[in-house]
Amino acid sequence: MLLYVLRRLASAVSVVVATMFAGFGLFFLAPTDAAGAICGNNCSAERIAHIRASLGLDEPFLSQFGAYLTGVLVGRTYEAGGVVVECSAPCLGFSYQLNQPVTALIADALPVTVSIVAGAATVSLTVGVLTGAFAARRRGRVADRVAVAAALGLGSVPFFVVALISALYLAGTVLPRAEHIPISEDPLGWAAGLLAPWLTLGVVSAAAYTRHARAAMIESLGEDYIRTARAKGLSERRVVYRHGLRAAITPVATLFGMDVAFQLTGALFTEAIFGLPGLGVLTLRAFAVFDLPVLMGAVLVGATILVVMNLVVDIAYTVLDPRVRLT
Amino acid sequence: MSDELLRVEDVVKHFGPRRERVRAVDGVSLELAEGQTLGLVGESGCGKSTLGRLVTRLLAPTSGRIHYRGTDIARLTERRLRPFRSDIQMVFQDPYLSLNPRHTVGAIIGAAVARSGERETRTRVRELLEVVGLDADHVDRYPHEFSGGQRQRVGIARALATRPRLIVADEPVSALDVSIQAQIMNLLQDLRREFGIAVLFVAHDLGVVRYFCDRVTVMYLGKVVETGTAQEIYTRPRHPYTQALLSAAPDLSVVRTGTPRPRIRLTGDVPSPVDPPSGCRFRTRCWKADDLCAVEEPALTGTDEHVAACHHA
Amino acid sequence: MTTTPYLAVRDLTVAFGDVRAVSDLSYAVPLGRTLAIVGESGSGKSAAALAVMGLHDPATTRITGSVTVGGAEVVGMAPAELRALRGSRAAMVFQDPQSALHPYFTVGAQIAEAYRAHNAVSRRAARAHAADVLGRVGIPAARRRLDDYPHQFSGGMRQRVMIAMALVNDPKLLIADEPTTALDVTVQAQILDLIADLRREFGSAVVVITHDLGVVAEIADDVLVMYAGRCVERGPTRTVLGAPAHPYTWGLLESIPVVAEKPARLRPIPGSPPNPRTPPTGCAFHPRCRYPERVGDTACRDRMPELTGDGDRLSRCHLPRPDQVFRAEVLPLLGTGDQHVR
Repeated sequence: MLLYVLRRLASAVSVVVATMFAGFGLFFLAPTDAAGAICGNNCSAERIAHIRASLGLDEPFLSQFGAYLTGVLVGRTYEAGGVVVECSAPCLGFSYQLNQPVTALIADALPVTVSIVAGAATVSLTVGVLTGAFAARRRGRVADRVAVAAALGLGSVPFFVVALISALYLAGTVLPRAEHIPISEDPLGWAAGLLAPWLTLGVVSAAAYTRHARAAMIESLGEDYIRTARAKGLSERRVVYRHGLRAAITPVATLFGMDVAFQLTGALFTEAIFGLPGLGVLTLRAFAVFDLPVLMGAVLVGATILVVMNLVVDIAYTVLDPRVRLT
Repeated sequence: MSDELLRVEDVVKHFGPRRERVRAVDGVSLELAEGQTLGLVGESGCGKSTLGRLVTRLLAPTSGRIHYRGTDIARLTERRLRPFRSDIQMVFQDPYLSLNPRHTVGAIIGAAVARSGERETRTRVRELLEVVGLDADHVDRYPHEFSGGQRQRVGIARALATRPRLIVADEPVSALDVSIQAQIMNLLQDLRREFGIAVLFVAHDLGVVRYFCDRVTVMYLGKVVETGTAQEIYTRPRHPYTQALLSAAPDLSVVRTGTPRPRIRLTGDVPSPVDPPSGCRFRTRCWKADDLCAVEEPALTGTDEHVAACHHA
Repeated sequence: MTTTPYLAVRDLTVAFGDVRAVSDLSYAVPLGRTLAIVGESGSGKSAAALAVMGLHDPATTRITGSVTVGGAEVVGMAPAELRALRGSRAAMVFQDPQSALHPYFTVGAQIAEAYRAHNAVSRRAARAHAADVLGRVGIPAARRRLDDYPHQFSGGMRQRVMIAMALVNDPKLLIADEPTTALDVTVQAQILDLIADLRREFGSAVVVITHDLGVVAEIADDVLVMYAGRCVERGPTRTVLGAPAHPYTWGLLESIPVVAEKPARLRPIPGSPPNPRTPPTGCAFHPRCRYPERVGDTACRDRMPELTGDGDRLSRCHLPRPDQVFRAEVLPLLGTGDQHVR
C-alpha cells in the first residue's frame, strides 16, 4: 500500500513536470510577444528589446525552462522596475502586469476556488446520491419520473445560464450575497458567502450524479445480497439505504474522480459570474492581458490538483471496496 | 500405445506475477489413443480446464511438450498451428457464452466449415445440423432462439465442422438441466463412435465421466494423482483423494440399502495453488498422511492399467 | 406425524403477470423432518420457496392460497409481521454464497446484523453471538474471522457463513435453495452433513430445493417432484426414488449416470421443459411422455390429472398401475435392477 502510494506519487510528479514542460513550450511558441504585452502600445523597439533581455526572453527555450524549474524548486530572483525581487521556492514566476510573484497571487486565489469546489462537490454528491437512491427505490413510479425528468432538464441547461439566473435573482435576496471571507476569520460568514455558488454549481452537477446513482442503485437493489438482507428480516429502509446504497457508492465515486476537472471548470464560471476572486478569475484576467507567468502557474496548479485528486480517489477505492487491493 | 494420438509430457502452466504465481498445471503427463475417451476429473482449481485449454493450444504452456500425432505443438506459432486447429476442437461449458449472439447458427457453423477448406458450405452446414439432431431449416436462426440444450448441439456441430480427430469437451453438460444432460451425453457418445473421434472430457461430475469415458485421470492442485481405466478407477480407487471424491458424490444407492454407505469425509478446502503444500499436495487433507508425505512428492506408480501417486496406496 | 406441521402450504399459486410459476402446490413439513423439492430450471421450485418467505415483490407478483409457518398465515401478512418472521422463525440459505453475501460488509457485521434485527442486544453481545454461530458451523478460529470480508473465504466456507447467518436466531424452519450447487463434490458433502447435523440438533423443519436426485437421496425424508409449476409426485424419499409413480421421475432416474455403475445407455427425456408462457394443454408433461397412447383416447392431452394416491404417497398421472409399468419397463433399464428395489 505504502509502496503503491510512493509509486503513484512519483508518477504524479512526472505528470506535473511534463505538463509544465508542455505548457511552457506552448507559451514559448505562442505568436504573441510577452515583452510587447508588458510594454503596452506605443513602445519603441529598443525598449522591447531591453525588456526581453531583462526577462531572459532572448535566451534559448531550454535554458528558460531550466531557470523556471529552478525557480519552482529552489527559488530565484526577478528584477522589476530596477528593484530585485526575491522569489522563494516554489517560485512560479513574476507577474509584471500585477507586479507580484505568481505564487502569492495563486496563494490568495486558491482558497476561494478550493472552497467553492469542495462545497459544491459536497452538495452535488449528497443531493445526487440521495435523489438517485430515492428514485431507484420508487423505480417507475411518479416520484422516480419526476426526479429523472428534473435531472435530465437541469443537466441539459447550460451551466452559465443557471449560474446567471442564480447570481441575478437569488444571491442577495433569498440567499446571502456571494462573497469570500476566509474560513480562518469567520467560518459562518465563509459558508454564508459561498452558499449561493455552492448551491448553483452543486445542484447543476447533482443532475449527473442523480442519474448515475439511480442506475447504480437499481443495479445493486437487484443483487442477490439484497434478497439476503430482506430474508434476514431487516427493515426496508435498512435494506435500501445501508445494503443497497453501500454498494452503489463505488461507481459514483468513479464518476466523481473523473469529474474533478469538470468541477474546476465549473468553478471558473462560478467565480466569474458571482465575482469571487478565485483561481478562475485570476486566470481569465491573465488570459485577457496575456500575463504568461500567471497562466503557467494556473495550469500547473490545475494539473497538480487533478493528479492528486485521482490518487485520492484510487486510494478511496480500497476503503469503499474491500476487494480492491492496490499493488 | 500403438495408435497414439496425443501425448502430453510434463506440461506446466503458471499464471500471474512471480510473487503470486498460480501453479494451475504443474507437471502433468497423459496419453490418449485414437478414438479413445479420457475423463479429466477433479475439483475447481485442480487445473483440469487449464489443461484442456493447453491441449487445444488456446493457452501456451509455460514448459513441457504436447505431442499431437508425433508433432510437438507446445511451442508452434499461430501460423504453424493452423492445420492442427481444425484437427483439435473444443466444446465449451456454457453454450450461452460461446456462441456469438449476433451471428446466425448458419454463419457460426459456416465459418468453421469454410476454415477447414470445404466448398459446399451451405450444404455441409445443413448436414451438420441434422447430424446433431437439429432441424436443418433452422440454419438462419440466432443462438437466442434455441434452448440451452439446442445451443449446446450447435456448439457440437461447430466443433464437428472441421472433421476433428480430437475434441476437448470442457464441462459440456454441467450448465444444462438433468433431462437435457442425458440427451447431449448420448449425442456425444453416438458422434464419437460414428466418426471415431477421441475425446478429452473435462468434468467434475463423476457419474457423467463414468458413463462416457474409457479411461480416467484424477487431478488435484495441478498434479495427476491417479490414472487408469474407468473400471479400475471406479471399482478399485487407490489414491485417498480419489476414494474421498467417489465417496463424496451423492448417490442414489442410499435409497436402495436404506443405510448410508461408509463415507470418507474430507475436512477443509483445497489449498491455494499459489502456495501448494510441500511433498504430496493432498497431505493437508489426507487421513493417511505422515512425515514422509511432507518431504517427498510421491511418483505415479502401478501397472499400465492403473497408476497412482501415493506413498501409502 | 400427529402434531400439526410447522410449515404448511396449501393450494399455493404464484403468478408474475400472466405467467404462472407455481400452481396449486400443497405440502407440509413437520419439525425435525427434511423435505426436498426437486425440479429443473423453470419448474417453479425457487418461486415457491420465495413465496414461503414472503420475498416476492408484491407489486409484480400475485400469490393465492395459503402458507402457514408455525400457524401464522404468510400470504397477505402485514410487512412488519413478515419482517419479524423472516430471519427469526424462518430463515433461508441461498444457492451462490458469493453473490448472496454483501461484498462490502464483514461477515461478522452481516451475521450480527441478522441477530440484532430480532433481538435487542448490544453490538458486543451480537458480535459474541456471531462468533459463536460461526464456530458452530465449523469455521476454524471463528472469532478472528469475524472481521474478514466474504471474498476472503473459500466457496465452502462462504456457504458455512451463509448458513451461520441463517441459524443465528435458531429458526424453526430452514429453507435451503440449491445450497450445494455452486460447490465442489467434497465440500458439497460437508455442507449436506452440516445441514443434516443441524436439523438433528435443533429439530427444525428443513426444506431443501435442488435439481440433484443424489442430494435428495442423501438428505431428505420426503421428496416432492415439480414439473412446470406443479407437484407431479410426492412421498417418502425411499418410496419415490425406489418405485417412482410418475413418468417424469422415471425419466429423471434414467437420465442420471450414477457413480456406482456404468449403464449401457442413458434414456433421456425427449424435448425440453415447456415455456411457462405457453404451457401445454392437459398434463404439462404429455408432449415429452412415452405413455400417452397407453392411457388411451386423448386424456393426457385434454385433462390435467389429479394428484391422487394414498396418504403421503401422491402422484399426478393418468396411467393406470404405474408401479407395474415401472417394474416391467423402466427398472430393467436402470443398470442392474436391484439398485432401485425397495
